[in-house]
Amino acid sequence: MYTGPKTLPAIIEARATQEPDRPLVRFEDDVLTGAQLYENALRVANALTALGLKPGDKCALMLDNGREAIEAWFGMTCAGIVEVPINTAFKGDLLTYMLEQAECRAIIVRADLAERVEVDIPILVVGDSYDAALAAARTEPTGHVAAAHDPSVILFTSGTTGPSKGVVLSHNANFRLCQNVSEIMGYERDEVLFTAFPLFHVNAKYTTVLPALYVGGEVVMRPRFSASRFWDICREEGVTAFNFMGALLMMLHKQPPKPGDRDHLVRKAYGAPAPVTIFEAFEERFGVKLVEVYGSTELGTATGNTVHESKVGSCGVPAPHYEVEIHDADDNVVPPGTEGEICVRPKEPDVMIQEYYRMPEATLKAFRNLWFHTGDRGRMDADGRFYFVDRMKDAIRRRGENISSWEVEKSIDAHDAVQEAAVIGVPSELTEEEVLAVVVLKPGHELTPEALLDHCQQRMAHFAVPRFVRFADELPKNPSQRIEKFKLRELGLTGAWDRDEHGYVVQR
Amino acid sequence: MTAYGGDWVASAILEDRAERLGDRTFITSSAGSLTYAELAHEAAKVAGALRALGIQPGDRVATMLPSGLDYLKVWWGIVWAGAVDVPVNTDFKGEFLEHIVAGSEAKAFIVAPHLHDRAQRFKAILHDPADLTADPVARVPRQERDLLYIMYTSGTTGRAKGVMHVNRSALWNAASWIDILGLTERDVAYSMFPLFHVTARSAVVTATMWGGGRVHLADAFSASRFWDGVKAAAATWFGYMGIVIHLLHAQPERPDDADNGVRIAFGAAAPPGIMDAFEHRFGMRLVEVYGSTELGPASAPEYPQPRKPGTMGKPLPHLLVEVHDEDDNPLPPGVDGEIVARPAVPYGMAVGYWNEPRATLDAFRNLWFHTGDGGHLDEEGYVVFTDRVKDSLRRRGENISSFEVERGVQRHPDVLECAAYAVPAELSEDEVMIAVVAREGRAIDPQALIGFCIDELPRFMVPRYVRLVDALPKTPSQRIEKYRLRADGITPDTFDREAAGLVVPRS
Repeated sequence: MYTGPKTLPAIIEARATQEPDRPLVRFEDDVLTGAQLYENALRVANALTALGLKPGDKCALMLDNGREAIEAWFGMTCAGIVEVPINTAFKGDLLTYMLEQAECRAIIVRADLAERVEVDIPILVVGDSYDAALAAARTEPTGHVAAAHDPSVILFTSGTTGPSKGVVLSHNANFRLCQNVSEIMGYERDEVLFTAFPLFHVNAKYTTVLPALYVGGEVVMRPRFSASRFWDICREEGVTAFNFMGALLMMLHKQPPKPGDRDHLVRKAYGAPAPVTIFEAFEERFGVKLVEVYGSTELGTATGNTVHESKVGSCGVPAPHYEVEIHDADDNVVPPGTEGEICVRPKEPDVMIQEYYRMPEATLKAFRNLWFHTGDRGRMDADGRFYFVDRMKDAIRRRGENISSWEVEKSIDAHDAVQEAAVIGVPSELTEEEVLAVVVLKPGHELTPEALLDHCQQRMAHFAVPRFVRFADELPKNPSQRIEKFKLRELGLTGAWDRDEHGYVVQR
Repeated sequence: MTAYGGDWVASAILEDRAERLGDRTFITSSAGSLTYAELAHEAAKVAGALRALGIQPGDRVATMLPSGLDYLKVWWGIVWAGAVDVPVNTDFKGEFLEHIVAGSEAKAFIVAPHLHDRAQRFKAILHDPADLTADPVARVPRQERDLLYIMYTSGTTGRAKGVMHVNRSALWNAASWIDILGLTERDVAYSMFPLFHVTARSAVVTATMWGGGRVHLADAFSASRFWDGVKAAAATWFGYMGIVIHLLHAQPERPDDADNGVRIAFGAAAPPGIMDAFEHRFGMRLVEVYGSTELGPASAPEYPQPRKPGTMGKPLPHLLVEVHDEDDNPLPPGVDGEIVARPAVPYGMAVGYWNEPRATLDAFRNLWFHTGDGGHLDEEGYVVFTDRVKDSLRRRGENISSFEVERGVQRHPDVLECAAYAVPAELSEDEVMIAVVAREGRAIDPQALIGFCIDELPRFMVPRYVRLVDALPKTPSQRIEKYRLRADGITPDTFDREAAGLVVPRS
């Protein structure tokens, strides 16, 4: 168990010193050892410093899972540079907005994505200028010593009534999440953790890679999840635990049963949501204990079950570093069993979001009455266990990705033929949601759903492109002209065009 | 007590009191009195006038008025109209005034006639309280979470900040005093604080209104005539600044000292050495309370328990209070650190600083409100206040921002730089001292510099002590090390305004 300073540079230095040649991350055709990670992280740190970046400056990272993404992540922190991970699906205005909002001074990017960068900052292209910069860089420490409360990362999370917000987290917050996950999962030395979640989200970074460093384990990482290959990989790689989201469990569960379903070393899995409909059947069939939690980018894990004690359908009890309550609209605590907003506040310093970067008003709104308001609806039972019900805020969640209806609407509204649009989430058969766009055309204009989606593909991440489109004469509105989305939700998919049904494929 | 059971909305309480206690006298003073019904009626007339001026609910209305009946009518008129009240210290002028009136984006500025010449810059929105009368209008309904007032409080590293209280947080502040002092409708407050201060507004006027008692607005404080005034008003309690206790105790003893009708008094910074003797001599209880503009009262003795000497009592039930180290880790009992607080109820404290979300977030880091005050909790959970961590001063009940004093002094053409800091006052709290470095080739005359300050600064901020130095002590990163200056204290070469017989005129 790692007991050194709670900073990202310190923990990789420790691994490089103590077990230099042991694999830390095993990719499909590559292995990253502790020594390699530390050396290359220092190269990244020195290369960025040579570019003129200073401690506290921000640098974007737009990469798929691979050794570069891990080296660059830790490397920036070795120079005190704050990492800004960007979803590789982003493009256009949204990408520009994020780079500008986070004040990124440089970006490290996958070669084929480089042309999407429309901001005038140094672009380090993996396989090209990035490699050259690293090759030329020194491998000594930069001299910067990070403090645990220093920001390590700004992660964008989709806004609900406005643009995406950059969540500022400290090294300490990263560690507290990692410690909590390691505790509730009972991770021990030599644990082998599988993830196919992207490194531009909190999950893979702080609940897989960091725990492996923390307990002295290893990571098996893939760029993409494959339901058909999953158990083979686990067997071949000796995986002992993995992270899930609802769709992942559903996809595994839908695979035809095989005699070898329990023939592996996997004993436990961490994530959310764990669909009640298949929970016990899944555990029984695969011999895996599911540990469901509730969390967010801002908080990390706020409540959790543990590998020893859990209740199906519940997301567990508050993490030791948090107080969790259910509040009504006036912030009064509601009685057990009553639904309300899940509100959280820290019992320790620097364990959660410091602020939404350069959005103090939005931060204060979320912090009102000195509670963090999650925007999620839930309830607590008489035993103090928590249950996630749904999102109160107008955000959509599809296969683990948060989608801002506001941002999708803004993109659709930009089409010449469109008068206005409303975007909502509709239940998905894979848990979570799919995107439905309800569109009103300008008088005298025509538009096919395919043409609309072509337009969308140019402007938004592939996962945000609506699956369902419905054209309407008008949108339901209240007297103050706000769109009444609850009425659209009640109507659901009635009369909606389904791109899956029509064989329309969205390019990644 | 005639309990109030409605929404925690200030104007709703006045309306309720006017309906149910109507003819009961609420305010007395040497200039006249007001019943509850009369105050509500006068407030409704002021609200009518504000409406005629185009004031909408939520608009800010600033006031700069001496304490008195007019003050109460205008204040509650603003509340009745659903507007947001921005009280301004009557000693303010120049850019201090500008910062509050312009900064709060006030739509009207109600100023006593004798102060009008200072407010000419705001001519377009300037009004005399006497002109604010029109046909009474119905009370504008407000929510508990709607803004009620913005109270500017001295900053530490910056300008004064506007503390925003919504109806519910302001009324937590007021209601707490009922418990702290055990107020009933039979109680009569003897009010010496200016009404632009949060204590007078919450502890005295609003708490009394809620409880159904009476407030006597006292004339200027005089140690020799104090008890006569108290008896004439039939007062049962009062609020004090430390110096008041000192001055009263210094009066020659009289056989009827204890026969004064007062049962309790509250305040802060009473000289600890004389509190027991004072209580015994005057037959009353002294209650020391810890609080701030942001929190209202935060800790106090548990009425009717006796106070625990050396402490400010226990945290009030609507707040959580801890003491943290610099990294925001909670400290064990007995260890000094910064006093921090959280609301234990919705809207249990101020909601932030007006138009300063960044400063608000800094104060709210880790979702604790950081008071800037130093202290600890003892083994029994009592709050022990040791000093202000932040670089502020407190003189005779007024918080003073060293930043603002420095800004004023530095406008003098011969001053290169200066540092303002606190030195202990003889009686209680602090006096303002400045260390000044002259520009090369210039000489500074302390007396002339004080004269300059009198023109530039509100009177209570004018330094008492001036020390001329060749350089200010600084850290390698060029921050002034005030702790060194404080440790030097009043050096033999320090100029003392009072010893020199310089009087700061009342404006």
